[in-house]
Amino acid sequence: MGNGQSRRKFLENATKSLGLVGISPMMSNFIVQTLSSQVLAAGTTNSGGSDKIYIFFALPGGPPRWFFDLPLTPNGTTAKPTDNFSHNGVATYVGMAGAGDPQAMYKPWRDPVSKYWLPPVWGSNPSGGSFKNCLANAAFIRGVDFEINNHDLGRLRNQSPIIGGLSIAGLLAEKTNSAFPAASAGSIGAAFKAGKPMSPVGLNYAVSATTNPISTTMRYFAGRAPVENLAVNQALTEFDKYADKNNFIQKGLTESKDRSDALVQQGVSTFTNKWQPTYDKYLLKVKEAMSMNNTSPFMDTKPISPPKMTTAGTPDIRSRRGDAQFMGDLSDYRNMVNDQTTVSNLAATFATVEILITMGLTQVVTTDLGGIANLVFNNANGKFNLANDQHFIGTLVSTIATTFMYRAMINCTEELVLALKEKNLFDKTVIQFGAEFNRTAKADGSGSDHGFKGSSVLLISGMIKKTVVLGNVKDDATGTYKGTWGLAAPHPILDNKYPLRLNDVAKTICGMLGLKNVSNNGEYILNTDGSQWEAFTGVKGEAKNV
Amino acid sequence: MFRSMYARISLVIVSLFVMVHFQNCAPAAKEESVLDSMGNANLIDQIHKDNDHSTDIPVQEKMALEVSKSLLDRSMIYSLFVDIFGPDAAAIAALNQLRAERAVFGGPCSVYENFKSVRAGLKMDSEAESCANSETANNLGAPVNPVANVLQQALINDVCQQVLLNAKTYNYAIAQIKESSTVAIPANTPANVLKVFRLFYRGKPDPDAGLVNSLQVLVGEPASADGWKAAISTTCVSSHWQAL
Repeated sequence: MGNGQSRRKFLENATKSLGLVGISPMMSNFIVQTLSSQVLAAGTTNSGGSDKIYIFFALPGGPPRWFFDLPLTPNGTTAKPTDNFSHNGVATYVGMAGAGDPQAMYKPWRDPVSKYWLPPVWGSNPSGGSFKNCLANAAFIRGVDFEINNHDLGRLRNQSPIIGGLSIAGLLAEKTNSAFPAASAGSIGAAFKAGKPMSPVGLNYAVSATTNPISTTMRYFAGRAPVENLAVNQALTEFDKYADKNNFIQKGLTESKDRSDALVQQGVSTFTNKWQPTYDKYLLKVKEAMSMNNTSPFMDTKPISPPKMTTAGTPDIRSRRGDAQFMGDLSDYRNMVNDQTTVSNLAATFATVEILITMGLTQVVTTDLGGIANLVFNNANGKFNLANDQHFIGTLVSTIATTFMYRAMINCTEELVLALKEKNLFDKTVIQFGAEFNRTAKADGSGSDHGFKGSSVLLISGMIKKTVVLGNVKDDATGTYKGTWGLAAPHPILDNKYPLRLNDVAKTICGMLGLKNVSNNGEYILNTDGSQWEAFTGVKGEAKNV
Repeated sequence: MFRSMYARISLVIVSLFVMVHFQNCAPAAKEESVLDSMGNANLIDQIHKDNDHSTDIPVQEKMALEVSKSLLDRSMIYSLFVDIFGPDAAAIAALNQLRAERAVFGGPCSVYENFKSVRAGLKMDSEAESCANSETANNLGAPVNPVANVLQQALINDVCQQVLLNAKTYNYAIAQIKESSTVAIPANTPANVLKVFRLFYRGKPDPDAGLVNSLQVLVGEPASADGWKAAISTTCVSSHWQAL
């Protein structure tokens, strides 16, 4: 039963009862006011819908994923961490082979808990050690065929595998009953499509001395508190009866009114007061990630000097920071990151997501994450932003800068997971990271192109109780992209006829969220007992390089 | 023989009357209980179990109608408020925000808004232009007709408050309620209260005496400006007028 309907009936009955026992109208009005305050909390309460939570972080531009959620050699041994696999062009670590001779090399990090070899960012928690809260509940789905080489369509298909069709966020939004059916920011919002006519409310991450994303979002409830007295409630009840009698009552309207009144009475400040401490917390997390604390898993602890010029006097292609742009005379490449380096809107995004979700305002957020900004390219403190679409980003620059970007994202996600756990929401939540594609690293280290045939998806959820690495990748031994760039290979889940596909991922996420399959086909890629999800046993759980 | 035949015919007619009468009563009682408990899973299960009974068919039709009804979209609501509260309502901030909220109130960009008509001075409406040039979900992907949501009602509440705080818009509305232009405050009569009701509930049946009385209680005796504002405000936020 809708909260609103029960609220009006509650007030109506309360009034009648008080009248029966002979209490004066003024006193009964006071008592009803007091009683009604008890149902105000219902303004943000999900009354009867799905309790699942879905957060999708999109990475527009398609940054390389071998720094993040594409473990290329997950099953290596200590003696052979690289799993006897070629890695031309794919680096995860930058070190010094000699003076003026920086090297980008493949050097994974071994998670001591799961025993998987993972991208080294996972072992670079700025507080020391690993990002264990995320890792313990993470599924690294690699070798996923995204099928389409297109930025926008590829990205949107993570949400809506049938282009223009229903989206995961849309299906969940229509099953929830929160104040905001869904919230969205950036390009990924265009993928939203529900069975019912609804759209996500747009988020604006602008922060100033007078505004912030939560106050902006809560603008709907910034009006004066509605008048609450017996006469008004009696009249509203009569309106309900009238609509009911004439057969055009909409329970949703009645409920919506009561819940919006409740939110107005709680006041915008109830929610915006959470902003500053939450935002500050995530600003600190970004700053921590941009520090030199525990960077040794992906970067030499010794100064990393710039590469020597080639014999022709041209810059080393690996030091390219953009099309026809190269790093300058930066004496130590580690200084690329400084105290102004950030990931655009990252702290604001995570603070907004945490407040909206933990305060019960919505259960569905899809948002783009920004790229890394304010990197330094020379000793004169010249600044540049790193493109996620890294066609022309040399591997020395890409490896350091992109890993810092992911480190900031994971550091914030680690905090978000803790916040969700504190509210007992994590076991109902699926956090997904996705982009339009992975990239194909050029063997000469000059950049990377679109790797739509071998992408990856990262899921972090309390429903996943143990680290999962799943999916097969293929070695491309020849051509421009020779080396390992994550070309998807057939998998036993699909009878070794196809690699894992985006539709399979979408179906699995829908299963976790209790939704019908948004992709209409596909296979579950994780096994479930109905509440928890894990890798299949045997070959169906394999993550092989073939 | 004829007498006997008439007796039999009469018996059949009486039987049919009783049966029809019984059938007409049963669904009405059922409808009441179903609507009171909409959304209750057990009751929905009960409806499925009752599928074999022909008397339950109207109940199911009513349920289908219940979820398929449309609401006014952002443009319709905007127009309604301007009609009730006059041209000055177009300057009310909350009403303009409401008009811009495509995701919340429905009404995505329309290709028909892009015409540079002679009537519009061959200029494209700025709102239509910004809408057409946007690719965000709030614009192109907005629903044609929305479902009821919390944000809608919050904004409508806000608009209802702002139009009554503004003297020009309030005076425009109250002028339509006065029994004559010479009175300062309309009298608290059922006829005048009914005018308030009809401002919002367009094309809908007149209400029962109970609703009229409840609005008259808000207007108070003697009628006052604050009393009329309470009646208009309550009618404004009563929300059912949004149902098409």
